[in-house]
Amino acid sequence: MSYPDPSPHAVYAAAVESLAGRVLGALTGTRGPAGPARHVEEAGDPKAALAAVRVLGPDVFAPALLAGAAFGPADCEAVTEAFRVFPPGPDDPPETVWRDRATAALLTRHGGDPVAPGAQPVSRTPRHRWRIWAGWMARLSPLALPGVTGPLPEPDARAAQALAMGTTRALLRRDHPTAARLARWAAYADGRGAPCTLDLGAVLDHIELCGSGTARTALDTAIARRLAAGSERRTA
Amino acid sequence: MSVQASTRISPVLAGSAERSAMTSLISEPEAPVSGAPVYSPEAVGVLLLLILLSPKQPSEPRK
Repeated sequence: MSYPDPSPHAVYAAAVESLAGRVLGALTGTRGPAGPARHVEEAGDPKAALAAVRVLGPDVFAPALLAGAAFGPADCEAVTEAFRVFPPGPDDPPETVWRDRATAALLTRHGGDPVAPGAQPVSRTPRHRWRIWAGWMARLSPLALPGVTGPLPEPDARAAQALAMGTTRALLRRDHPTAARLARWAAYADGRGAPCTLDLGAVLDHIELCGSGTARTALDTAIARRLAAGSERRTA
Repeated sequence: MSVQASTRISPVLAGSAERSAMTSLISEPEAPVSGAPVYSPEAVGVLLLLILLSPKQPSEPRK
């Protein structure tokens, strides 16, 4: 007989998967309104549910930004509560700082109370070291959303090439979560005038067919598809 | 039940273990080991044993 892992990491990871599935359903229209408020209300462990809201960060706004889904006051309240229970700290890693700032900005834009997003984000890792840079960008994939200020405000051809190489490397390593995150950035850059040198449709098909099967990866893939479709519409 | 009502029940400020669990989920690194399919003859011992135990090749009958 097996017992569930009671460590916070395992409990929070399960909550993140649950919330990612809800956000994915809201984005693709396969589930009803499923903002963070509903997720927290229905959770058996509200603290884990709030941790999931903090982990997904800007991605909880993806259905609102990409599909026009509602993000009501209760949803804003859930995000504010997540920041209260899990406040940003001075020793947070840079990617956490970037994500917190983006989440705080989106929260304010959707009518939520301002929250303290923590320290000022810094860019690191020069782009010519594409492998390390791609790893850094993969951890920042929730910032690849329209209207979010991230570390790639004006992507150029060099960035697109580095993202394509990073995506290819991740696919060769069968690291499908990283491949989905970088494909998402590649689609974002493509939509901002830095054409992707990969066949993004084929890459996303491959990740969907052979991927890890987690809701987080499925969410990254779905967002990448939305971003790619948006850029196709703009160029058509 | 509002979010405020439900979340006020238990969540007090997260402790260091909880914060570190959350941060580790945010900063997920790339997969440390490649899952690429490589040749790994796991049954090599069994195959060798079967070869050794297999009957000898029949020889031509003496005239």
